[in-house]
Amino acid sequence: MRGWNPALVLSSAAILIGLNALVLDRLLDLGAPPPPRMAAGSPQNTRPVIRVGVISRYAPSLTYERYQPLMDYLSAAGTYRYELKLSATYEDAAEQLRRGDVAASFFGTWIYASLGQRFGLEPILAPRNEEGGTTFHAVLIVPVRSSLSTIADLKGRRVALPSRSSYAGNWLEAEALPAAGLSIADLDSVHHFDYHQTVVHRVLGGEFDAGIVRETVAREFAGEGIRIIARSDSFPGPPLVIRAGNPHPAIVEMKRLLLALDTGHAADPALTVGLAREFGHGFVTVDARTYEAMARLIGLRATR
Amino acid sequence: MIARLLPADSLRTRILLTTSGAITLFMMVISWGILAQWRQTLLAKEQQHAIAVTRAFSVTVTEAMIFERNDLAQSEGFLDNYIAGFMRENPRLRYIAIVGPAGEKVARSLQGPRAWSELVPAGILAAPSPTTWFRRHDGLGWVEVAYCPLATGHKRWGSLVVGIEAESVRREITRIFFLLLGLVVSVTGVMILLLWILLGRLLGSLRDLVGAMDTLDLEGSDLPALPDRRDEIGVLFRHFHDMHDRVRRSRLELINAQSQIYHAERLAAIGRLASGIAHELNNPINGVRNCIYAIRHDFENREKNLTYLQMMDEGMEQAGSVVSKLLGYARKQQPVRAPVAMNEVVLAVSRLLAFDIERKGLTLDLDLQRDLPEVTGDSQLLQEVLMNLLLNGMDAVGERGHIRVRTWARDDGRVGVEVVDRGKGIAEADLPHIFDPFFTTKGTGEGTGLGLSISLGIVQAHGGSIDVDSRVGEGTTFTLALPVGGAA
Ligand SMILES: Nc1ncnc2c1ncn2[C@@H]1O[C@H](COP(=O)(O)OP(=O)(O)O)[C@@H](O)[C@H]1O
Ligand SMILES: [Mg+2]
Repeated sequence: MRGWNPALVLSSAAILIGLNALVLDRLLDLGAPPPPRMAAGSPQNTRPVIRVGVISRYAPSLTYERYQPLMDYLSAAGTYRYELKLSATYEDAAEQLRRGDVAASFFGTWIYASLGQRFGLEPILAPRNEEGGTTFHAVLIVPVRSSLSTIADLKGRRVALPSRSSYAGNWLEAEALPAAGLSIADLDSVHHFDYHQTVVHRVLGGEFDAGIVRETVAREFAGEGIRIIARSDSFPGPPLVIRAGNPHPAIVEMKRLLLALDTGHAADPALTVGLAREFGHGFVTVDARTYEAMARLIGLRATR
Repeated sequence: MIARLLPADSLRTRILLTTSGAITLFMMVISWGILAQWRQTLLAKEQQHAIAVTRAFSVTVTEAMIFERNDLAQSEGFLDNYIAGFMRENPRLRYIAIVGPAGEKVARSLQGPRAWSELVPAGILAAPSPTTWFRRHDGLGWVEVAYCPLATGHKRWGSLVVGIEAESVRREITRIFFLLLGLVVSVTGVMILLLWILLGRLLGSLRDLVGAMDTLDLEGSDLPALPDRRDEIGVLFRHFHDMHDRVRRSRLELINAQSQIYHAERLAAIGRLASGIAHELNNPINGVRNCIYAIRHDFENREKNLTYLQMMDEGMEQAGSVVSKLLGYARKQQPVRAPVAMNEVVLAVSRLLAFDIERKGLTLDLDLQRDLPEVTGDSQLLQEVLMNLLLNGMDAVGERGHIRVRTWARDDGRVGVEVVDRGKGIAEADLPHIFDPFFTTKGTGEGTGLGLSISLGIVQAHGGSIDVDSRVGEGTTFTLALPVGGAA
């Protein structure tokens, strides 16, 4: 190399600038390839649709979260496509059944007991509890460190309760307090919450001295700072209800599939998890007689 | 100015340009790598953010759709209100679109492209999980599109597509790009400046060394002082010093050897004079012997004896002068500088050669200009020069030859001495070599090849010159030109 050539220097500078422009251009091109086209739709779309009602025990999205897996299971195992149908009120749910908008509906024990006769409904199945039994209990919970130990201690205390339309929400006033020689007026205050979980949270948070929830919910929170100090008599589980005498083959199929439900052996693990939350222990057959005692209790309250 | 700062041929320029080019390229490549990595992170963060935003909104949308599908909603336009509210809360949103499970239109924001096909790409609808991608919309520029399926378990409500502006991302990338570029350029600039200064120092030291080499005087004893340094340049300086010393020593040895050669040549010339000298000594010795014989023969004749003694005295004086002439020529002494009359030099040499010339039957013409200006120098050395020229001439002409010596004041103010012979001349091929040391055409013992080389050295030391003009078969002319007053 004899000396330096200005043309060479200039052209290398130009190449550097060009390279930089190219790199910047590449960096600013954010365009990723559009996602690949995927097969849309599924074969079950063509099957007849069977609607299954759910009373509004949970917020709508939560209801879907809890009941949709069951629909998925039924759709996968059965010949129909099962879809949920929510209702605004309990009466709406009963009305939908009577009209035939829905083939079956998941009711609460208390709600069936109050509405079943009036709307001509018939319970066919109820979920099993953890032990495989057919009955449930409401329990009185307090924080672990609480000094309360009997129902009588509730005098002058604040108590959190679940919905008025559930057995647990009525047990205290209808059975527990009278048995202890108290009435609701002896308490400092009571408050009804929509969901059992909320009751536990409020008690743990110290806003309430005690609370009443279904025993299964109390067990979910075992080891998280609550303690059970009283337990109700047993009551039957929340039934799957149909219009009395409805002969629809889908009802037969549902009954068969739900009785055969074996969550431990379900093929889809996501299904197992979803089912396990609410129906993890399978179903048993029930009939109107199962709920007669509960209906009598409600009737008693209504006349009082 | 650039040409002055970075002269095209300098080592400094070349090193600077090559290194700065390499450094610049290297740093740029590194910064590009960093930038690409950083961009990846930025985009991933953006996509995460987009998915989080879309997921959060999808909860509300799912809820609303559940309400609508179950006829739980009281008012129409539930979703439209949600969309408008969400768009207001998130200024970076460009559009929102909601489609049903089969891709049917459900709701959309007022903003965004009018065509649904622009809003919701067909292929995406069955994707099982939220994804994002970037695309360009005419008029909107770059948009990050986030897609989120609306589902509960296997229940599919539809899909949510949200467009979030991505121009700010591109601006951020551009900003960081130019920031890094500026950093690279300034760091490179600083490095080049440092290099420039450093190279300047280094090459400055080299220039000092070169300067010292240029002013190097082998006669003078000392080098100009070079800075005392501990680095490689210092090593160079020290080696240069050593080399200088070695050169001076070998030069002294050379001078020594040369003076020995001078002496040898002079002795050789004396050897050639020996027979003439012997003859010259023989005459007075014979005369003295004759006188002694005559004195012994008539010892009583006092008057006659005095005359003989007188003659003996003259004879001894003559012998003495011959010896002293010889000694004067042979003595090795320091050169002196004194006024020299060239005519005297010519005469002295011709006297030394007189017998040889006579014996060989040669004729020597002397044509000496009167009132010749004196030159300054060493008459002994100048005699040696003339002796060499005359001996060469005598060798060239052979028996009964003719040699002429002329002196004159030249037009250029110098003194000229010409030795002309009608001898055999010098072959053209030899002419360039006759002044080379040891060049001779004569046999061993006859020539040393040193005469002309030494003569040239002497004449040049006097500031003069020797010219030769020769033709084979016709003769040779050597011309000396010596400056009046000698060399400056
Ligand atoms: N006057 C001359 N005529 C012819 N040849 C000459 C003359 N002077 C010098 N030369 C040539 O130049 C050669 C070198 O001369 P010189 O240096 O005096 O060495 P040397 O006389 O010992 O040979 C001689 O050998 C001879 O060939
Ligand atoms: Mg000679």
